[in-house]
Amino acid sequence: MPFLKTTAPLLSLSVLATLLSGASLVSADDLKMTTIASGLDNPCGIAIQPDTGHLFVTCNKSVLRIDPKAPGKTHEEIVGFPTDVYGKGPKYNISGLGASFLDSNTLVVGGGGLPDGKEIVRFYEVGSTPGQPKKADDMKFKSGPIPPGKDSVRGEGNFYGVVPIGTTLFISCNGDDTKGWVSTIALQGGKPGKLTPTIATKVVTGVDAPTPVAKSPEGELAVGQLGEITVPHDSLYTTYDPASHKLTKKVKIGLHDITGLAFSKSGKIYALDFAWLKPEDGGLFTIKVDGDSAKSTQLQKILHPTAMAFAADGSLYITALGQPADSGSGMKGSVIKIEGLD
Amino acid sequence: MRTMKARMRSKTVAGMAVVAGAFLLVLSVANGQGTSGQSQAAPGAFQLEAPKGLDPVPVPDDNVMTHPKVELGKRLFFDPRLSLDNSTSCASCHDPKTGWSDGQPVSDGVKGKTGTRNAPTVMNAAYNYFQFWDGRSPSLEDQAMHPILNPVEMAMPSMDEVVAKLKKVPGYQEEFGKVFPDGITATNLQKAIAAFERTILSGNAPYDHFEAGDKSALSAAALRGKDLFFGKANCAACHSGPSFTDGGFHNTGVGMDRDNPDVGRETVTHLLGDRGSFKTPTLRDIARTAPYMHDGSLATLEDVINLYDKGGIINDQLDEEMFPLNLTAEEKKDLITFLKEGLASDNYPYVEVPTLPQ
Repeated sequence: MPFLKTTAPLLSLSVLATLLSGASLVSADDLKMTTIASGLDNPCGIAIQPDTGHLFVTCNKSVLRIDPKAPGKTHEEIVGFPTDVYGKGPKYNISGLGASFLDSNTLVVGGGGLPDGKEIVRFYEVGSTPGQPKKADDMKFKSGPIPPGKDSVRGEGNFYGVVPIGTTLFISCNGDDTKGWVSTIALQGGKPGKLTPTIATKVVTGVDAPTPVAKSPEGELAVGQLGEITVPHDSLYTTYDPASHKLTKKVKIGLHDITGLAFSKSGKIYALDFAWLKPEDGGLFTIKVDGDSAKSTQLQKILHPTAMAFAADGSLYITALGQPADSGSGMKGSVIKIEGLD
Repeated sequence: MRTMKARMRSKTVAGMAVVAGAFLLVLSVANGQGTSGQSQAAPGAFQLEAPKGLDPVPVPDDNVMTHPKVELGKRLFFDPRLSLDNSTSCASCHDPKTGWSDGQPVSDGVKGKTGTRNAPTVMNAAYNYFQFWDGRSPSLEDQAMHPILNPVEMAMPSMDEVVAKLKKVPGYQEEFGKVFPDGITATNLQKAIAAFERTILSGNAPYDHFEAGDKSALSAAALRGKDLFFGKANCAACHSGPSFTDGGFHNTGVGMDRDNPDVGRETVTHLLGDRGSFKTPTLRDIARTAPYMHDGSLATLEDVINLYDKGGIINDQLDEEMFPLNLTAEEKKDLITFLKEGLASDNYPYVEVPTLPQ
């Protein structure tokens, strides 16, 4: 029968494609995991310097520089950050949170150590090699704060995520929980403008706490809504048009508390789940979005992961708090390198 | 939908895929496999429509809604024979006349015993991630047995004894037999009660009409109150979403100034951060469910607003969302107007006490 003769091989291919499409091409067995640094004091953010590949990790009171070629060694790049306490038990001392490079020598750090309404975004000039530690207040520029007012009941703080898209810096904020602001800073001639509440993500999505932000392969702003730490499986993956700030995608991903979001060179979506209520569920996941739904697959269990970034060679670097002390400075944090992702 | 004749003409692989998909869909509907496991074609299928403003009601795949099941669940809900001395039913503490709560700070059980927490409303409990103030139950089905076995509530020694009691009632033998192939069991009793509770929904309120475009649906005072709710008064930090609850747990400080306070969620999670935290309740039809808070210690909405205005009761685990609001007297009034008028359902889910099986 002519129909079957022509369609049989096509059907075979389509069946094969169907089988493959839902399967992850990477499994946990394919990955190589290495601890690059340990004994860190609550690492919450990570940025990779474009030219050198050095890791800049925001910790309690400081920003550390780590050369991945010299694992185990850390250098205090910036010191003396103010400290705040996050959580009600367990509790974590935190300072800088989200981090990103604008260019090889300009590091942006979202603050977490000052009260809501006083928090700022800090811009630092950093060199290609380690030098004398810089003081936290020795900033090239700063932007903010967003004080209490009509946009934000008690002002903004806890700037968990920082990402530049074009000439705009997007910062996730966790001050006013009725809005869930992603704020913006316009960059002009290398200088930052005013920190401005821009996207009310909670109003738009119905879920709390914008946390990780990233630039998607399509050039959109990707935001992970963490949700309530006391509610399981409520995190969202969302995207916005960076120019109009309109929501373009909102899907439930089944994670408890998304804290990291990154895209590999091949365009795959990777996410971290802090899993506050059930730490054994936490770790590194892939997210496959299909229309209005998504499937998350755990690749690696990691205890309390906080942020991640892909290096130019495709390696993924992840910060993790580890097991906290009863309160304060855990000194159990680490930076983990994962190879083998696509 | 493509016709059979159109299907026979299709020759492309893509066309065949559409045909195959459509054929499978027809099969699945005929077999009664709708979304959320809901039977759409099976006899007695219960089409659970969410009121305006609410999301589709989540229904577990292993407890589909049918009319006979819901009716059975209703009778069980109102039946005091599920208690040790035949005095107390679910409805004793979850009374449709008092907002599906009981109008008391804490509830009375069999033999005059009293509980320690305010009876939560059943309204919109279908949407809760967790049941009870401390979230110790993961589902309506599971929750149903707890009060029955609680010595200060309905005080039955075991579910086996509940089943034995029901088996002595010919009317229940018959009704269970119509719904469940295996008749009267503890699991089936819980499923029936849960199915009934899923129908107790509050939505379709002036707030929903306003959000849908009817700008006259809220009075000027309620509209000012709405703006405060989502703004200066910070209510929406926790009372968010269609049911006006984030489903999470928060410490407002209520009760934390007492000796040996009720630590709420901490008893379940054993996390210090959950000490004194209780589940955010729905605010739908909130005017009907006084008194308020997990211990019923606040008699009126005015008392509640005053608590939040002062920033709650300070304790080591006080939620960061609790801080002095500095509301004016007029703002407090407008906020309460929004709560009372704006969230009052046009179709309050009132249910008459049914005739009980004999």
